[in-house]
Amino acid sequence: MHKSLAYFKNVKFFLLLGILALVAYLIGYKYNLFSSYAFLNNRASFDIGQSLLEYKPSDTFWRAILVGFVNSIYVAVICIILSSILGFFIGLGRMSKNWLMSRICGAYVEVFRNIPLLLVILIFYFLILFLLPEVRNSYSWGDILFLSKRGFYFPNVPYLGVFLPLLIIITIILHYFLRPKVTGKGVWIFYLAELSFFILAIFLFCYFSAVELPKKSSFNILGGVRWTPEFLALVVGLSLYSAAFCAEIIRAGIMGVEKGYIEAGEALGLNYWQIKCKITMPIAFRIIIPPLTNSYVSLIKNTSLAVAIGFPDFVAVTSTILNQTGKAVEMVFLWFIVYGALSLLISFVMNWFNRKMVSTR
Amino acid sequence: MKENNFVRNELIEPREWKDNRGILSKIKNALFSSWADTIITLFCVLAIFLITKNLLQWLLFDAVWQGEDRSVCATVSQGGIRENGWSGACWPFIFNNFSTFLYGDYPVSQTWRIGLLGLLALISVIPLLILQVPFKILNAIFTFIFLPIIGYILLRGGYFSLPLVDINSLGGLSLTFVIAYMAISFALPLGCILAFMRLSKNKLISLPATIFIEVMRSFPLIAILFGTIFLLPLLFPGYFDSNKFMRALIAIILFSSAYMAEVVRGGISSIPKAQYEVGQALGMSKFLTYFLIILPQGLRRSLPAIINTIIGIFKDTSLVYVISMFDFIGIVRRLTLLPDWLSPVTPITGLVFLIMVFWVICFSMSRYAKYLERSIK
Repeated sequence: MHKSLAYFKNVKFFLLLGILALVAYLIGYKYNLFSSYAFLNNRASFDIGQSLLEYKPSDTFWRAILVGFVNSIYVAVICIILSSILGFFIGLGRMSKNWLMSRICGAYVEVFRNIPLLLVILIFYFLILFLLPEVRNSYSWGDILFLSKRGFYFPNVPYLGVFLPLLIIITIILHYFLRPKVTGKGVWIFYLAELSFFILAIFLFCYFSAVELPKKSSFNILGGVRWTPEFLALVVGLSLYSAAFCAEIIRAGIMGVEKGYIEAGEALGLNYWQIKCKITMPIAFRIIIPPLTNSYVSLIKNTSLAVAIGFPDFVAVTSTILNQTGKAVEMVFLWFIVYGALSLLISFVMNWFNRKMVSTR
Repeated sequence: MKENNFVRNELIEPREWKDNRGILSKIKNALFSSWADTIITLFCVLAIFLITKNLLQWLLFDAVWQGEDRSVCATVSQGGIRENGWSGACWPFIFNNFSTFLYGDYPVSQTWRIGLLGLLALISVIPLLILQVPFKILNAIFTFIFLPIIGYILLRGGYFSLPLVDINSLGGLSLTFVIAYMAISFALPLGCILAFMRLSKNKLISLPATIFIEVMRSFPLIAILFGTIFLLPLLFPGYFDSNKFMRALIAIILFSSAYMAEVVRGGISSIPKAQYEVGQALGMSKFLTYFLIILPQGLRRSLPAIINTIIGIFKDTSLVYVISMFDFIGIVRRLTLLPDWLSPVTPITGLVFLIMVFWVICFSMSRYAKYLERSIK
């Protein structure tokens, strides 16, 4: 169980790592891999349609790569959250006693498991461009949100991206220091207070900062944050596709709970929801974690399909740079480093999480 | 002293028996068993009704079924003959270009070769898939050794007085099938070899296999496609001039063999050590033990996962669209942009057609997987 951690303490591991690093350095030196990355300090002359960070075409290639990478992570995080929630509900619906509900959820899963992801993203892209109105007639909610062929506009709250992670960290710290040490009645008041603190903090922050509202001008909508149709298509397509796989994983987890446990709960007199929350969910959670992490990893890799519809994610930006400068070896090596590091990180996190889940019970 | 137990002294009244056998009570239990259930049922019925009504309206009732050019699919304000505000599927786009969707840019006079190859493939693969048909080994030798050779001769030409055709002009559904077939038939043996290499005790053999599998599994397929397209001409100058087909094929084969290796490894590593010892006791060499004893059992254990991987490979071959190879998706997208059929409904019609074809093919494969699973038991 602790094999991967024990391997680190082995001297042979560090020796192997040292030899590999030396070999990599020598190969890099021979093929001029390291010195030749200087070209990335040149001016990137292409524009990036949508980015979380500030970007102008006069920035360097390094900046463009960073922007693409942040875009990929942004899409991946949103899609992971959306697909987990949706997959959870569809998995539950699949196990419902209602015949219609279980068949509809089954049909959803069968549809999305049997078509390629590229097709899903393409059809959502063209549906968005087909069904949404022109900018002049965009759907709007209270003149704050606008939805049209040009994208989804919503108000821009400055520094929200910095404030939110800080708030989450503060909430987690407060949770661990202030939580009630006894279980039983009254704990749900604490969770309610925690949730209201979180939401109240976000509201106050949005209320007291200079919010930039999108305004309708003659041909366009100015101001606010814009989510391009490419981004919307990628997020919607990827979430719906992954939700089908998550639904299957969650269904396998729920079906993998032995009947004896549920019957024990019924013998104790628990009702349906208590059995679901206190018995089925914790056991199923442990079954679900490994395939779910695999699903998350392949979701992160599938955000690279953005290159098919023109959303500037990491692979798309680096392939644009590859086409412009012709330096294929350096770019492929960059992919190697980034994706290798990402998958190593995720497998370490998954191993740690899995060990924590298994050894605490 | 408090009583901590409970003993019932009288019998409980028996409840009356509810007859649940009839069809009406079955429907009531499945759909209307409680108030929440009834609300869910009504909601589902409403959702199904709305979705199918709008879908059928767009696909069947408002759709165009005959025509020669874009005028039948465009509204009056776009230069066509439909009234303004009309929107429906444009099926003539599919019907008129059907042979291009199937064969791509292959010369029209030679497309019979592709049809012949498809027929031969069906004749050789279908008996292999049905379990009761005998002569499986002969069938397998024909499918996996002779069929690729026949395919190479037929598709490329140059022998037996068949005119030479550039393989890069193959496109459409036949390109998807050719790439998928080559990828699957190479990925399975390569995957088995890689799995055995990874499980070997010798670090010199297991380390390269592990590195290869982990590297291939951590990259997205698009990155590998781009990488091989650009790097292979640098590594092997002169061999790959303008032969995008071979480069894409190599990328997909390498990628699929890594996934297949993981699946096969899962099946093989669950085989008890006693089976290896049986081979030793019979005096078999290591290779014979692996091939005759371990591999059949291992593949049988991981069969559902193998077929899932095969379906995944078939879906992943569609990604060659990104490197501008005109497989099924690529050719439909390309013909959508031509001016002959330009209209707002043409892209959606093409994509709906693609979805239907892919869904039918992949669903049949997964149904076959279920049939296989049931018969293997």
